[in-house]
Formats: sequence, C-alpha cells, structure tokens
Amino acid sequence: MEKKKFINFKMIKELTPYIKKERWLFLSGLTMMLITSTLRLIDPLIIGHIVDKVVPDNDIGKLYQFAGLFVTVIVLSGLLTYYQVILLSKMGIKIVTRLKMQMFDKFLHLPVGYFDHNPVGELIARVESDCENVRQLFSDLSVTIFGNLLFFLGMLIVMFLRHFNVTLLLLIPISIIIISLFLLVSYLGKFYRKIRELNSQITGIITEYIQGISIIQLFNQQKRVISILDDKSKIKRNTDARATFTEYSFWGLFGFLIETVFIVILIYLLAPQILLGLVTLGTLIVFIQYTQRIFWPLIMVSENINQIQRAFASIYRIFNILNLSSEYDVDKGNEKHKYQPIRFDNLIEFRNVSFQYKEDELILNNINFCIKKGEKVALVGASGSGKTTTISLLCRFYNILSGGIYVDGIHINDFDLKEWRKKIGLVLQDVYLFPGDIRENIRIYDDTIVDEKIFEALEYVGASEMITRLKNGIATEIMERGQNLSVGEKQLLSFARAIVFDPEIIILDEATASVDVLTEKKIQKAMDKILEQKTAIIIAHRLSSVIHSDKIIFFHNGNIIAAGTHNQLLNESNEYKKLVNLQFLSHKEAG
Amino acid sequence: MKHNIRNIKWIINEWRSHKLMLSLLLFLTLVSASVTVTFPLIIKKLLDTLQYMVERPEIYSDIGPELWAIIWLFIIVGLVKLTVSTYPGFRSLMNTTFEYVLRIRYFSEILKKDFNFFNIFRTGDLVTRLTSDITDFPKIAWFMCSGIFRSLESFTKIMFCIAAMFYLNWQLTMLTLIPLPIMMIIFYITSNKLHNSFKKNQEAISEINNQLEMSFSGIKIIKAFVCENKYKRFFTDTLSKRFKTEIRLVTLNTRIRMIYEYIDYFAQIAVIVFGGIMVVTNDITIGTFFAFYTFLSMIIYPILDLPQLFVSGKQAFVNIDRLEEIKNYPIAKPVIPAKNKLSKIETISFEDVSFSYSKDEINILNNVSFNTKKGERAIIIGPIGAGKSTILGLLTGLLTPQKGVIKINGIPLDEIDLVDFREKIGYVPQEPFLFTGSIKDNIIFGKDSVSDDLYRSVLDIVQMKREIQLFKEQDSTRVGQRGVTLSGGQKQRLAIARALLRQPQILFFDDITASLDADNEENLWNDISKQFGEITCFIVSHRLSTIRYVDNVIFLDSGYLIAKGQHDLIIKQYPEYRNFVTGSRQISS
Repeated sequence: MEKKKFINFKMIKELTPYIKKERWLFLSGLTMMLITSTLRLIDPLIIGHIVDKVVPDNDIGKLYQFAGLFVTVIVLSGLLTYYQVILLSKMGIKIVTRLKMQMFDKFLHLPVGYFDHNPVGELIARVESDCENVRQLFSDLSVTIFGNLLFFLGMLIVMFLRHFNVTLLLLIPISIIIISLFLLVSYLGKFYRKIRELNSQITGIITEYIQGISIIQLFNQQKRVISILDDKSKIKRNTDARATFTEYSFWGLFGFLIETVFIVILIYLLAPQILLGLVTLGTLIVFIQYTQRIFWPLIMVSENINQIQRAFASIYRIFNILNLSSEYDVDKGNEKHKYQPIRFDNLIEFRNVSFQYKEDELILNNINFCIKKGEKVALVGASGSGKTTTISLLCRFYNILSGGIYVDGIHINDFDLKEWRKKIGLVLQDVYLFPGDIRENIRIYDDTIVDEKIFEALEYVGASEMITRLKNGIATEIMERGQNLSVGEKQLLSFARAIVFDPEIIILDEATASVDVLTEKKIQKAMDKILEQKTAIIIAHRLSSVIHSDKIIFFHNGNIIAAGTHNQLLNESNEYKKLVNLQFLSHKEAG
Repeated sequence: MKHNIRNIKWIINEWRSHKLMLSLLLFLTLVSASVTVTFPLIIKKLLDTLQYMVERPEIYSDIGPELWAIIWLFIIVGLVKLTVSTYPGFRSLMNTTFEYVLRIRYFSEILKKDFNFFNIFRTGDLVTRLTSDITDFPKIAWFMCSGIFRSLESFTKIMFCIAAMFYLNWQLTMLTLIPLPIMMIIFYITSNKLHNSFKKNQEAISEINNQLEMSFSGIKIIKAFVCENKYKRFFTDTLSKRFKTEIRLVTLNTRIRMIYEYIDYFAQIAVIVFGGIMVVTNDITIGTFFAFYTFLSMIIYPILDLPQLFVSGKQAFVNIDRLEEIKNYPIAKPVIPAKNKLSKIETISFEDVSFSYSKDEINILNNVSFNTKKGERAIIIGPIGAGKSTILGLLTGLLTPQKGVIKINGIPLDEIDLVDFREKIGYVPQEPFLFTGSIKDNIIFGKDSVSDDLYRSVLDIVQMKREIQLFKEQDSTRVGQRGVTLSGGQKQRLAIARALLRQPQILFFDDITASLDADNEENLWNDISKQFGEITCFIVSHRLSTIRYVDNVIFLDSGYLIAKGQHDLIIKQYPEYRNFVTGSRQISS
C-alpha cells in the first residue's frame, strides 16, 4: 500500500493551505537553510587558505583575520541553524496541532457505523502517529533533506571551481556510490520491515502465553510453548544478523572508498600538478576534506527516504478521513433543512423496519411494534437477536434499510438529528466514563447544566450518599476506566447522566455486570424511579427485572416472534416459555 | 554501589558462555581503533612530503618513490580497515544472541509461576520486560555488548589520538584540549534538562492517547447526548498543553544538537590560532597542523559518547533488576518431582479448606469440607463471590489452600506429582482462551498425538462439526490474532473439545453453560455420558437448569459450604438453598 506513488501533487495541494497559514515561518526557515548550507562549505576553504596564503608569507596578521572569519562563520551559521530548526519545528507543531484538532472533530461527527469497522487503536493511530509522521516533514526531515542536498551541491560547485577536470573525473565514482547507496537502503528496508514484523509477532506470542498461562500449566504444555517462542526468536536473531552484516560490510566498503581510494586518486591526479606549481597544497586539503564529507549528506537523505514515504502515506490517510462526510452533513444534505418540529404525545411506531450491517445479512427483518407514551417496553431474546440494533436505529446511529420509525406519524429522519437525540436518555450496558471529574461525567461538558441540577439528579437516583462520602464531592476525578468506583456506583452515575438532561424517552441496556445483591437492589430501585415519568425501552438480559413491563417484545433472529405482557406470552408462546425455563428451573423440579 | 556490582557480576556471568566471541570482539575493536588513528598520520606524511618536494622543484617533478610509498601505505592500511570493518556486525550479533537467550530463559521462569505471581505482575508489564526491556536501544541486550564495546572503542580511540597528538607536539595538544571540558560541561547540563522535558512531553502524549481512546470507545454516549462540540473542549486543552511541551522539547533538543555539532569547531579554533602561529614560526609542519585539525574532530564524538555508557548502564541495570525480580519472586509451592503418581483417581476430598489470595484479604473459602467419588458429577452453585471458581482453582493445583488439605485417593495434593495429576484432568475456563493458530491446533493443544477417531468424536460431542464445515479452510481456519472471529459460544465449545481430547478422568467446567442453549446443553451431557461414562465432573454454573444433569449439588454462600447432596434432598433440608433456587424463580410461577 505505502508506495511512492502517494507522493503526488494532490496531497501537496491539500497541505498548501496549512503551510500558507504559517508562510512567514516557512519562508524565513527556508531562507536560513539556504544561508547555513552555504556557510557549512567555508571551513575547509579557510584551512586551505591558511596553508596557501598565511604559511608561505609568514603573515600572522592574516592568520588572525582568517581565525576571525572562521569564528564569525561558525557563530553565524550556528545561530541561523538553531533558529531555522526552531522556526520550522514550530511550524510543524502548529500544523500538526491543527490537523489533530480537525481530525478529532471529524471523528466525533462521523456516523457510529464508522466506529464499528475501525478498532479504537487504529483511530488513535490515525490521529496520533499519522499526524506525527506529517510533522517530521516540517522539522527534522525537511532540514536534513533540503539542507543536505544543498550542502552536497555546494560542495560539488566549489570543487568544480577549484579544479574542473579532477572533479569531473571524481563524478564517476561518486555517482556509482550514490546509486549503490540507494539500492542498499531499499534492500535493507525489506529486512528491517521483516524484523519489525517478527518483533511484533514475538510480542504477540508472549502476550498470549502469559494470558493463557493457567491453560498452559494445567495442560502441561510448557515445553511446547517454549519451543514455539524459541523458533520465532531464532528466526529473528538470524534475520537481524544478516541485515546488520550486510549493512556493516557495505559501510566498510564505503569507508574504504572514501578514506583510501579517493585519496589515492587525488594524490595520483593532483601530486604531479602540485609539484609543477599548477595546483596549491591548499587545494589538495580542500579536496581531501570535501571528498570525506560529500557522502554524509546523501547518507542522511537516504536514511530518511522511508520516513518521507511514511509521511506521505500518512497525509493520504489523514485527508481521506478529513474528506469523509459527517453524519450531520449527510442529514442536512438529505433533508434540505426542512425539519419537522418534534412532538411526541402518543406513539412511537416501528413500521416494517429492516436493517443489515453487512450486505445480505439481515439483522432486523420487517420489524413492527409500537410504544405508547409513558409505556415501559422490554426487549428480550438471545444475544444477536436484534435488540441492541433496534435501539441503535431509534437513536439514529445507523440508517434504516427499509421501513421506518414514526413518532406521532412523522418519520424520525424528518427531525433535526441533534434535536431528536436530545429527547433520548441512553444508558448502556457497559457504563461509560470519560476522563475528568464526576461533574463533567454527568453533564458531559455541558456548561448550561448547573451544579444544583447535577445534585438533584444524583439525589434522585440515590447516589448523593456516595458523593458525600467522597472528599472532593462531584469534583472527584474519575480514574482510568473508573477504577476508583464500584460497578454499582458507576451504574448510578450513568443513570444520573441520563436524567440530568431531562429526556422524554429513556433507553436502558440493562447491566448484567456482576454486582452484589445489595447494589443490585439499589440499582433496581433507581431504575424504577427514573422510569416512573418516562417512556422507556429496556433491553432485558434477566427476565426477572422486566416481567412487570407494560409490554415484552421477544426477538429471535431478527424477527419479533411474540409481544405482550409476561402472562400473555407465557400462555401464547412456546419459545418464551423455553426462555423462561432456561433462566429458571421449571416449577416441578424446584419442588 | 553494591547494587551496581551485583548487576556487573550478572553481566560477567552472562559473558562467560561467550568467551571466544567476546575476545574476538576485543581484538577487532583494538585493531579498528588503531587503524583509524593511522589515517591522519599518513595524510600528515603526505602533506609534509609534498611540501618538501614543492620547495625543491629542481629535484622532484613527478610522483617519485616517496609518494608511491605513501600511496601503498594508504592502500595497505585501508585494506586492513576494510577487513575488520564488519566488527560492528559481530557486536550486533552478540546483542541479538543475548536478547534471544535472556528472553527464552526468563519466559521459562514465568511459566513456573503461580497465581501469587500473576496477581502482582500484569500481562502488559511482563510482556514489556521480556520484549522492549531486553530488545530496545539502549536497554539490556544492547548494553551487554554494543554499549560496553562501543565505549571501549571510544575510549581507545581517544587514548590513541591523544597519544599521537602528544607525540606530534605536546604544547599544541595542551592548548587545543583546554576548551573541551568546558563544552562538555555545558553539553551535559543541557542534556539533563532534556530528560525532564522529555518526560513531561511523554506524559502529555499519553494523556492525549487516553483521551482519544476514551472518546472513541464512548462515541455512542457522546452522540446520544449531542455533546460533540462541548466535548471537544477538553481535547483542545490537552492539545495546547502538548503544544507547549513539544515546543520546549524541540528548543532543548535543538540546543543540544547545536552544541554537539559545533563543539568540534570550537576546538578547531584553537588549532587554527595556536597551530597557525606555530606553522608560521616553523615550530610545526603543515602536515602536523592538518593532522591536529583532523584528530580533534575525530575525538570529539567519542568523548561525548563515553558518558553514554553510564546513562545506558543505569537504564540497563534497572531492566536487569526487573528481569531478576521475575526469577526471584517466590513460588508458594515449588514443584518437587518424583512424588506419588496415581493411576486411577478414585476419591477427591476437601478437608477443612480455607483460602484467601493474600493475608490481608478476607477468606474466599472458610473451612470447606466435602467428598466426591469417581464418576460423580457435582455442580458448584451459589451467588456471585461465593467462592465457586476458587474450588476449581484449588482442585487443579493452581491455587494452594492456607488451611486444610485437599486429598486425592486419600493422599494430600501436595504429595502428588502435579504434572502427572494434571495429565488426568480436563479444564474448561470461564473465559474460553484460545491460542493463535488453527482450530485443530487449539483442540489438540494438550496432546502430542491424537487419533483421528477421537478427534472427530470430540468435535461431535461439542457439536462443532457442522460449524467447522462452514469455514472455508475447515479445521485449518486460523483463530486468535488475525484469525476469524468466533462467537463466544464457539470458543467455549472449542475449549470443551480441547479438554475432552485429553480423555481426562476429571472434568472441570468453570461456568461454561452460559454460551450453550438448552438443547445444546442437553446433547452435550448426553454425549459425555455416552462416551466418557466414568468421568468425574465439577461444574461451576449460574444456570439452575444444569442441575438436571448432575448427581450432587455443592451449594456455597460467601465462602461457606452450606449444603452438599442431591438437589431433591437438600432443597427440603436447607432453607438457604431453597431460597436461592426459588428466589431466582419465584416470578415464573
């Protein structure tokens, strides 16, 4: 995938507005780079001049002049290099921060379906690693590449000016070395990719074995897993050894060429001319110094080629994401801003609703049911039968394939998406807590919700006692994944969150998490309370909690096979009876 | 200090098995360093010879034997250097060898550990210790060879260069070396700041990663509560914090790089001024002048590199300690071989067994006693946290009781060869853990050779045959990393197959029936009865309907054994059990 063809003008065009915004940083950085690359050429020339001019004339005054010049050049080029790196890096960081912000914003507004197909780790990598790769383009990379190429060209020019013929001859071995250098880099690239791959395999193997340690011990398979790890590690060591030996042999040859072959060629070509007085000793010194330095810029560039490729592959991915349309865009585009006002006085109807995540895999098949205002409706059925999908469609997380959901006769797609979701209070099975304190977790960063309202909500769900126990009250920071709260406490917070926004409809994916009896009772009480005044849809995993619902809808493989009250269903549906049997012992056996 | 000596001893001990390789490395390092120092000396000779010849144009007009000699000198020294030039390859070969040896050794140590160990060490932490702690630059493996030998190389280079400089002209040597310590001090002061700034930036990075992870995992909540735009606020805050740390880091980094790159220029100023004067006053030749110039640029980087030995050493020592910590963590009950081996398991008994995960924690089990006989099927039942799974852990020897004994055939479990005992059991964990590999690999995990008949009949029992047919590659289908995704129920049934394939005398099912529906469960038990009639079973379950398929019920509550016996009997005798069973079902009546 990550080929060079990704370096194209389209991507540069996409980046241009970002660079334009920082054009002063960009231009001044570039100018400084030009100057510093030139200054780096000077010091061998000064040595040459000292040898040619100062020594024969025995002129100490001139020596001080050259020394002064040398110091000036060093200080000047040092300062300029410093500011050039700082300015370009600053630009890179600025651009990347903007990119990250935009990507985060984009992700927040993408449809939920996007998150089903892309694991969280991938998404983080998109924001973090891809943006950081781009940043390289503006700091280290651009400096090394442009700076070093300029330096290389500069050296060639000075050498041509000093001695045209010798330089022309030297061009032959120089170009051979350049070509083999680039061949080597791409050859080694393959090795290093393989080593990285092996490394991650080894990490994977070890992780798995440690996670499954009790299985390995109980099945007496220690020897087997050691030998698997041993094999993989050996392959890695051998690959590693081959790569490094190839690389160092090349560097050895390379060193031989510049330290020995080039100098011998130089002596052979220049010595006769020096003896004839056609060329100065200083020129020889300049040539020796330059030939020893001329390849380092190229090595630096060649080492960075992979990074450039990576950066452009990242740019490609970043703009692919930024160019996706958000769910509000889709919504607005379809409805042309003609939203119906939301009124929910009577009925929510599912009419012939079908839905599939993947082509030809119907998850919901022609679903029909209705919910009256104020009713409590329970969805039951095995996992995978379509309960969660049903409530996701009601929240408009996905687009319905055919049929529709109507609220007092109006299709929910005719409502403004945001306004519609504000009518719903969602409580998920896995309680989701955000980084931040309890206050922010309940009001989800909505400043318009004042503390009093938060306390009210906590009191309502019976969580105020737990808050008073905390030293910082609602300002208590929640640790990663809510480690400082019990399962029950987390559940209560998610109830408080659902009612603080005062929704008309509550959707509850009932928790099956292991909680102790006491907490379970507390949660049940809170649940009953928050459902009191609302229309509620409950996904039930345990029948015991929903048998008193106004209506139970029994899902099976994407169909509704029965609907009614608990007693109705017990009489009418064999499948329901079976489900009851599965969860409880039958009457007779219980004795 | 004592601690450092211990780590150095540890490294020397590791070195012992590679004496030949290490001596070769030592030899190559010395040759390479001395050859490197020769080059500026030959160039000096060249320049001086040329200077001498230029001043006598009447004698020398072309390359004579003097210059040819120098050319040959260049070629010979160049070839020597070329020959030894692959020695960094040997260094890195040693690195990877150490890496390999250490990883396998400490991984084997981990395999011997028990629950106490895994309670304390998290998987991620252990993986880090066995991978990046060993592999990464500049950690253990790198330090053990490259780190030490590179420093040795730097040190020899510096010494050889300084010796050569003193030999050429001691006054100039003194004058040119003076500015170096000052520059080095500045360099190290700045480097130390870098560490701090780097740490701060790392913190900012992981904060951003955390926030990204939380946001993406909670996307449904964010959307359902329509707070996308408000939610962005916290990310903006973190990003601007990161912006600051990044800028600070870049500034410091650049400063260090500047010092690093320009430090030799400053040393060269001394050569130009003092050396220049000496050339003019004929105290030194042009060749010497140029040689000093080259020597100085040759020793700057080694000098800056040398203290790196201590920095990376510190890091490596920490990582070595982390490895040793794994090895030295005590095992509660070390495996002692050559104990009793049982051929048939006849009875299993718990006598007054109590267990807790550590002294400070409350007991998970209190004085639990019961007996089971061969062929008995027992369900272990009770509320969450009653200690059900703990009983299985104790029976399989994964856990050891604080008090009381577990006896097999009347012999305490401690005195039984655990490896041999485990050959006779089949265990299905609560979380069906499968390893990366094919479906077949996973099923035959516990066996070296398996007959086709047995394999097929086991697949039949767990009712996976038809489902496997549906996979494109049948039982060669990969599961685990980069494999197909199996449903929880499928994984569970593969885990059951894996246990059954061992033809065990005892089966342990840790709450497995949750992923089987009622029909499947019935079939499973019928088939097990048919094909493994004699088998003893312990089943932890939450599903009361499983009681139909067992002989006895072991009812636990909060770590106490309340009742053991047939369901029909104990439901009459024990109100606690009756409440538990009927409490769950009162609504269905």
